[in-house]
Amino acid sequence: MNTRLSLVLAFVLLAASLTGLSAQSGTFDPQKIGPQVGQRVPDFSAPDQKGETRTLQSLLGPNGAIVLFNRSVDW
Amino acid sequence: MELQGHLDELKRRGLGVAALTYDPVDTLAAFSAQRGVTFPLLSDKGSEIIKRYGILNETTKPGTRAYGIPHPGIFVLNPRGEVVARFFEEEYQDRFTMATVLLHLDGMSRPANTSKGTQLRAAHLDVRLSSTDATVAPGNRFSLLVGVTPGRRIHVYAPGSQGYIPISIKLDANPLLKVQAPRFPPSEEYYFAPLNERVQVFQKPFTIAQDVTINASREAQDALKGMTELRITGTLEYQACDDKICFKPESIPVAWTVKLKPLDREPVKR
Repeated sequence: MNTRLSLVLAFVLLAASLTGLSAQSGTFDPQKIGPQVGQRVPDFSAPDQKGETRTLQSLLGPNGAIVLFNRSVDW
Repeated sequence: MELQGHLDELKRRGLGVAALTYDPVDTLAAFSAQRGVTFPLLSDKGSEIIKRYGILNETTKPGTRAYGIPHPGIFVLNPRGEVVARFFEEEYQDRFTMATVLLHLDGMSRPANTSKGTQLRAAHLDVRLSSTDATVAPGNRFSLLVGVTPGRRIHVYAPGSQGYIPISIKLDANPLLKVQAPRFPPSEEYYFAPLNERVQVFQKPFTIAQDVTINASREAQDALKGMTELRITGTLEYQACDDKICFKPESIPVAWTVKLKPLDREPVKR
């Protein structure tokens, strides 16, 4: 292999390994997921425990609402 | 559910309330009946809404029970459905308690009730210790409170003050606790004429909020099993000055005791 080709190869290998590294070490940041402060949340429509359909709009009180996303009530 | 206990307060604040899971309606109905839940529990079977919100936990494997769960968290919305605050944790078992969510929402601008809590002996200050929650479970994030009322003509220095000892709270290392950065209310400027200097101080009653999370790791939960309460210790440091002189810096031991309850992992009765 000539010098130039081996240099290119070394560069490609380095770039590939860096990409692999960042993908592996990407730590999850809970602050970055979902709607951020200032953003409007997506509308939804879902049945409640009585089987009645509730929309986001129907849940908002005079000063807004607190919406919790939980794992499960069962475990 | 913890939310149920705060429902009156939330209604008083004009806030609607709902919790959403991927459970089917009949599971939510059974849970609701067993626990006396009076606010909406929404069924997002298939996790379509969870996905629409972009908070699906993608580390879970399809075919397992966990597949479809969200990264758990809380959105506080204004009447137009815009996010005004959000509370998401790094560890999936960690949860902000509702009491500390309300404290965070109020920020430090709401006059703190500095007259409640256990009173400490502290030179030049009235110091009272309290907590947003008396009983906590592994994973709960809640706030320890230090209510400070400076004596007559006394001020203490805000964090970042140069040349004086700023007031600070430092908790002792404890593997059962995760400690956040303490939160201070806005300080005010104080002009000291003899030295022609302007500094940031607290002169009026104020509260420092120190969030901690009860560690929910396997090891911590094993250590916590059988414990009915947890004692949290630390040190309050400050330097009090009046309008003429500064007193010696003080270092006061502080401690809180919270009751412990186990994590609620009970399945719905069928």
